[in-house]
Amino acid sequence: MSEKIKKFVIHTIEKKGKLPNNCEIDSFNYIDSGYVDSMGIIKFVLNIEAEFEIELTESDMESPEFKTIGGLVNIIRKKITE
Amino acid sequence: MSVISRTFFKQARNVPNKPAIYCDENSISYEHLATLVNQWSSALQKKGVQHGDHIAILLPNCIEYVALMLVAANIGAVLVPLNLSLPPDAIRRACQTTNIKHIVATADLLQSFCLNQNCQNDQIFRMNSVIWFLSYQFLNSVKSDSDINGLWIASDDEPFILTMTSGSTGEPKPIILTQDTKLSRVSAAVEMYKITHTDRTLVATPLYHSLAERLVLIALLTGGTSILMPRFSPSEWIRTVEEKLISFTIAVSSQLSQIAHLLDDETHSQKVKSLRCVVSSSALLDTKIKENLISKLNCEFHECYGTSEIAIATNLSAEDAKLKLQSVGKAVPKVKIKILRENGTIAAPNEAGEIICKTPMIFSGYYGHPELTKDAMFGEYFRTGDMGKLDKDGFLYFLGRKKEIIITGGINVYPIDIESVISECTAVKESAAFPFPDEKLGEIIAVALVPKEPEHFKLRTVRFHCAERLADYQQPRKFFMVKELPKNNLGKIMKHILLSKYT
Repeated sequence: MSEKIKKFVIHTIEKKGKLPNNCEIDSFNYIDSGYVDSMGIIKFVLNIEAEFEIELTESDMESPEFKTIGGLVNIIRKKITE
Repeated sequence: MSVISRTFFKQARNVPNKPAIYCDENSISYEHLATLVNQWSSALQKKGVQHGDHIAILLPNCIEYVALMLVAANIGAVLVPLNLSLPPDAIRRACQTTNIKHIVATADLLQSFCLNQNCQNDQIFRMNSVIWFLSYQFLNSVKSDSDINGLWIASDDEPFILTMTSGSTGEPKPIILTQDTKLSRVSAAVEMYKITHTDRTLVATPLYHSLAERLVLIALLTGGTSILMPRFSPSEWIRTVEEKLISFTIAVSSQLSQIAHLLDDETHSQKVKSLRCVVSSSALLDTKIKENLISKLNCEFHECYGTSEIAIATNLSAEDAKLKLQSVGKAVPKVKIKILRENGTIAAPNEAGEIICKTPMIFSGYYGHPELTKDAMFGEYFRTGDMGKLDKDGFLYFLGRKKEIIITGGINVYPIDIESVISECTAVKESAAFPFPDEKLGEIIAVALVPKEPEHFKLRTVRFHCAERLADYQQPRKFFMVKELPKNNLGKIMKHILLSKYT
């Protein structure tokens, strides 16, 4: 399941441009590197919520885990299996 | 050949091997950029692009985007840069309003906007009129004509770029900028911030902002180097300044507010020592953040006030900021500022009224809206719709907006655009959008809404509807459910009550 989630997350992030070659995907911080900025965060989150039929709370979004691809995939996976 | 085109090619001959632009992992020299501009000028001609044709641009920040600006200047075409986060309907409306004949986009982007379900390279597709899709593959496949320069004599006073803005009625209100106007805006900045060929200019906003367009032209027309950020984040900004030895930039105030937080950490402030001059634009900086930036950046610092229609109207230098920190500065050279009373007479010093401005950098009207253009003028002065006062020394103080507007991340949002999309939700009786203060973006969009059936109301439905129908910068961040909206005797919503209650 994680691979499917990761694929969707990467696809959504890459709307702002391809991820750098040879980057460590799981630990890649897509917020600090500007792939999802303060403007785009709302649509980004709603896209994920719609795809996986989950709800991401403000505390989810404020957690350090949320900022990395691997961390976000984990949050989504936990929400789906809850 | 136009002055922009002529000046760029002259710089390309002077410094052929110098890097003209860096973007992400890519860079291009002046010579190669000139070759690309020639090649694409030929390609557009072969595709039937004619002098005065309107070309929409749906591209992220990239070297090719800048090349297209120079191509348009070279052949006399008119660029219409579009925000990539606009929903498909808004893109169609923008294309119709501006009489687009061609679109340059990556196939990925074009398809994701559903403009054409079966979009192949350089295939014609239809909306209301025939529009040509010009793919990269096609542009790059055409060999350059050696005598392409000046193929059409693009005149400096013809439209060059149409900048999309929203009107207070929710309809697009494109601002016409001629090559002359762009050039006078570039020249004013070069003079004011003492820019030379040694400067390395950072462009950290999307190229559909007129600020970013101006910044790349500043670098390319002075023989300097432009560093184009594909995406912005405060840490990437600091990293880029350090890595590319940036010396000059104009940034949106909300970007600088976010950067200021990081500069509190000395390891970060050590990384920005190459900066010679930084300018804050688009919205007012918080006074404390301004003081903090001036001390942490340790370089020449300016704050400017202006609008898309007039560019920079006033400038506050760090020197003046010591005495007039609350002010947005004095009128820049060749610009006159006055304060207009409600009754149409000119206000006295320290008397509040609407800020009006006479400038050689003024726009050439709203495309397709001669009446709106006329209404926006007071003789030769542009009516900014902002309230302010001038002190006896000629310093301008910004006091608020006459127009109902929210400025988020430096972009103007009209509440009517948000309210009309929310009104499409059957579960909502009525709504009112208003500005809510935010540390990162200056202001964010808040919405007070009255559900039809509060017990069955689901906010998620409204949020998803907004995500589908509005651009990134228009997304409401805060919702307040209310029983009724505060209204006056005439039934007009009193937004100041919402503001004081919730902010």
